[in-house]
Amino acid sequence: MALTRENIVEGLEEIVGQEQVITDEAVLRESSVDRFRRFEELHGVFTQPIPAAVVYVHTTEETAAVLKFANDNMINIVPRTGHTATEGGLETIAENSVVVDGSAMNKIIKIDTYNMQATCQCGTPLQVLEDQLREKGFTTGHSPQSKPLAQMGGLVATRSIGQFSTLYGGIEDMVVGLEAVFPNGKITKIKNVPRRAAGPDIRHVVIGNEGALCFITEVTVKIYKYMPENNILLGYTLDNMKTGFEILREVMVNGYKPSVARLYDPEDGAYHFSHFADGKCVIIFMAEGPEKISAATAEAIEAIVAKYDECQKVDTRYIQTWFDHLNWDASNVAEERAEIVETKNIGNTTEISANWDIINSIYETCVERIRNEIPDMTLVGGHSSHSYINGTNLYFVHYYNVVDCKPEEEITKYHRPIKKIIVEETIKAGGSMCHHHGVGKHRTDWIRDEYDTSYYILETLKKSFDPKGIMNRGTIFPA
Amino acid sequence: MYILTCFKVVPDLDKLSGSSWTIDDQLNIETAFVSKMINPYDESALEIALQLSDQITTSGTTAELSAITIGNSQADLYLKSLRALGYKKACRINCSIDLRFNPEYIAALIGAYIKQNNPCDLILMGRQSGEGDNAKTPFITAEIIGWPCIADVLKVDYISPKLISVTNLTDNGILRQTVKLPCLLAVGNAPNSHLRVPTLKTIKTVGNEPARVIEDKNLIKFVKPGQKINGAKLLGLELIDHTRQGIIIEGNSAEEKALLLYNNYLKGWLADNGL
Amino acid sequence: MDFKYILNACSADYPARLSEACAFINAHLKILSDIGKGTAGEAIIFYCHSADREPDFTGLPLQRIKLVKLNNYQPELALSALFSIEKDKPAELYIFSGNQTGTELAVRFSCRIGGSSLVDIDKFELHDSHLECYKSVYSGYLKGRLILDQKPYCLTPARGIYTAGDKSDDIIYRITKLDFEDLTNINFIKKSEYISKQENNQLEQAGFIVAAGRGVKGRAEIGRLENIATELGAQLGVSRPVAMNAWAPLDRLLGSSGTISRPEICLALAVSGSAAFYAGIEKSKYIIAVNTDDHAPIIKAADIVIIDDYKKILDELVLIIKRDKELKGNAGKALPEV
Repeated sequence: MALTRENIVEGLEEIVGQEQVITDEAVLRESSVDRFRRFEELHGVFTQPIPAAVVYVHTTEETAAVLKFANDNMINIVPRTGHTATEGGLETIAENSVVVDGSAMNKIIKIDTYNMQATCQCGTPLQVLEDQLREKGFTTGHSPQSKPLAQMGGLVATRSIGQFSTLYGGIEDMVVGLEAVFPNGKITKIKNVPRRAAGPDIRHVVIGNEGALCFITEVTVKIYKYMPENNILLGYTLDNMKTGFEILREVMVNGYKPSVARLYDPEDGAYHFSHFADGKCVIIFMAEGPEKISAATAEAIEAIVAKYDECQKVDTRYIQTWFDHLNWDASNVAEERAEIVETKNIGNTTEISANWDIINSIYETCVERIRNEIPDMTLVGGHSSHSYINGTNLYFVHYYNVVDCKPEEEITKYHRPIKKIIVEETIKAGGSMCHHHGVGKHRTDWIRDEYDTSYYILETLKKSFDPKGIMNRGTIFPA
Repeated sequence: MYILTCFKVVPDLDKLSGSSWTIDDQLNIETAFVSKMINPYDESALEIALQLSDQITTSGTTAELSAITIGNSQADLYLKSLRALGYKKACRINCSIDLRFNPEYIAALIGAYIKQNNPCDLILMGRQSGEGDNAKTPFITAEIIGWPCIADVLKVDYISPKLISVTNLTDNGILRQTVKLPCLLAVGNAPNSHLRVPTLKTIKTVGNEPARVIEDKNLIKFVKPGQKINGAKLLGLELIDHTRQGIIIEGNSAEEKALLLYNNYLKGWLADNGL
Repeated sequence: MDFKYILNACSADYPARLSEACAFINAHLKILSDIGKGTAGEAIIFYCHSADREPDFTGLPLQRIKLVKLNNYQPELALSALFSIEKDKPAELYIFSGNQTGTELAVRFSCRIGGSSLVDIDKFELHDSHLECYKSVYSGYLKGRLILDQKPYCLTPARGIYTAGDKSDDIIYRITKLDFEDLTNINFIKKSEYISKQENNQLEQAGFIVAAGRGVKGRAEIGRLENIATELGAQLGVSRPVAMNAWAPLDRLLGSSGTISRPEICLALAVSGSAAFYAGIEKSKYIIAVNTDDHAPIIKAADIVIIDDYKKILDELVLIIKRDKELKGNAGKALPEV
């Protein structure tokens, strides 16, 4: 017999005390969605089942007790920290779900500048950690756009990536060890060592699990020396995305590691660069690190770009000003929300990755199809912002006016059809449908195609670690 | 109804960080490197005109919208999206002189533009824009063309081909008036007036036709002899220093910080001022 | 040669503008005496037919007062009246009030009379061939020095600078009265009604202000802050984005296009510190900023700073103040003997 909402709340209050169990109606409604459904949310329409409670956990043990209670009583758990998810991962699709919020676990446990690693609780905002590190002359090297808002647990759970990834890597390259709680209440800790060859790397069971396997309570990441005085920014305009991809490839293949390597198409670039790009593509690099390495990297990139006639160098001050306003904080979010309601114009993003040989055709096909097939589009474009030796990512940006439809129909009329085009074209070509936002709840239709025969491994993880299926139902794995 | 909206493309000054405010020998500020936007008051004016046009269309009559701007080619991008939004005529008066503190020249050009066979019943423009912060263009324009004007407009509604309802903020409160056209409206802090966004399809229908450009010298020759076309002369610019003590209260929790704030500062200040 | 100070007694903020006039004239007394020879100079005060008595101008340091009666206040009417009074023998300098009425009249009158104008000036200096003015430009980031070289000069003082002026009490006024009640040719206005009347500007007079910046979002949150402000004995002021989203009425707007406040204490919540907004709080004696972003310009432009979520700090602060009040309440009672 399933517990009633009241029973669930009582049970939780017994474990963590009344103060930490929130049942305020407005909070619950807001907790039934993430940024994916913000158009509905902004119009006060909530289509998802409203969770029974939001529980603020303060310790690993509390988390374990809450998870065990849920597991014993078949209650769906949605783990959360900074609430900045974009792909529906935080939607509470099951009746009487419980949102377990780790944002109160926000202590930085240790900054170890000798072994170059920092340990913090899941609710530590990345910005707070980064600020403390920078004061001491260090950095995490992690800088996603959501840095001012996102917290460490969520960043690891979604396999996030930052603007400096081409040098520092994604979060999976930064995490050395962590602590996670599984639905049966089992607390597990992976120690912090430089490397190991003692079987498969189990960190990767936890990193990117999106709360569908376990709850991350503590994270240890690498830290690096912070030397912004050596940063060198380079920017160019160019005519074609294809040339841009070629340049990115040449930089990577020749072994250079700029921290920033970004290529914007004219549509996506217009918002940031229209005051100098004149309708062209823009490619931006930042060399960073020790002085001589930074200088050598910048010099080599300049030499590579110089081989392409269509590239025009841009005054660095344009790039610097853009760079200074890259991240989103609460005020950006507030302004965006107001504009959406008024203009009924809303933008979303879809990020994929693919090898060098297919990336440009995926870009061209998707942009063309969206333009032709989806109504009321106001912008469709994209940029590449994370490059690797074998390929790069594409971050599609799509804006549309919501016309003649109810707030709750926005997703089915526009957002999902757009995602469908991008995901299907990418998988068909041989790329990955998710580069750094996670699968969430709206790309699960294609998860088997994404994995193909290796889905067996993924599926077995779910069956083994969450046999009752109480962890974030509908996320990664279709409901 | 012929509606003309005047707008200006300006740098987003809030994106210039402290060290970037450098003043050169010619008293220019380098703003080329920051992104541009339509002056927020003008953006409101452009949206209000569109809303009015929607109302007119609904009532079964017709409205013809035009937009003009004065400056360099930076504005052409905006003219294109305005055309896609329904501004039938969108034109730029090309001008290379320093307009920052010269609303007299701007108003003279607008006045000459209107007199050169551009029929017009209603003119909208933002009350001021943030380089010169002159707050004079609408008033001078009204004087030049001899029209009545209304300041700090918040909202406009359609009544009939020659009548509109104008809501504006005055020193005495918010006033709603039924106004006979022609009239010039200076738009103030108008709530809910973010400019709508054109779709790719409508942008496509506008095509790649370049923006209509008129040279300022071809207009200024129509200005009445004796009319003032020079603004105040700029002698100096200086960065305003807002620096205060900036004492940061450190603490381990919000409670601790709030308590330190209250005990060390706020309590005393409140008491000192009988608050 | 002479100077004139134009006031509009039909406006709700007339008392404040009268103080402004006193302060502005006194601050420029030396220059003005040079122009007006002694304490000369004239005030032209518009008032409405509907007013039950003539406007009060006590304290104004000008001997000559011209009271001009209008049917009702309409900028076009005041302009016509002023022009017909002044056209034959214009003064060298006209100063108008630092409000909307003043701005409109200054600029339009200067066009009609063939002079030059500048509004929102901080101060001015007179030179032989020109008038030199200082004013905020570039959305409040810069101070500009500008010259006007065509007489008559028409000016308005910037708001918030000239507030409490010393009123002169030993002036013997010479009053002239003019009646322009017959002037009614403003046929472009067919109907006119106030939706809301501005009584007195509470933000302008508040001793304690809670200023909600760009990081504060939503109508509900603004409502909550308004309640908290009331509880703390403060007035709530908001940023332009908040007012533009109609989350708060326009009379709550702080900044260069809203109210310039001058409280003892300003608690700035999630305020980034853009110059246009800062102009509305910069005359505060103490500014306390609460912001999560330690790079925001407000951090250096505040006296006391807390880097944290304003919601948390505010909640704690409310609890602390309540507790403190309760303690004070109990302190008055006799303590039980031990």
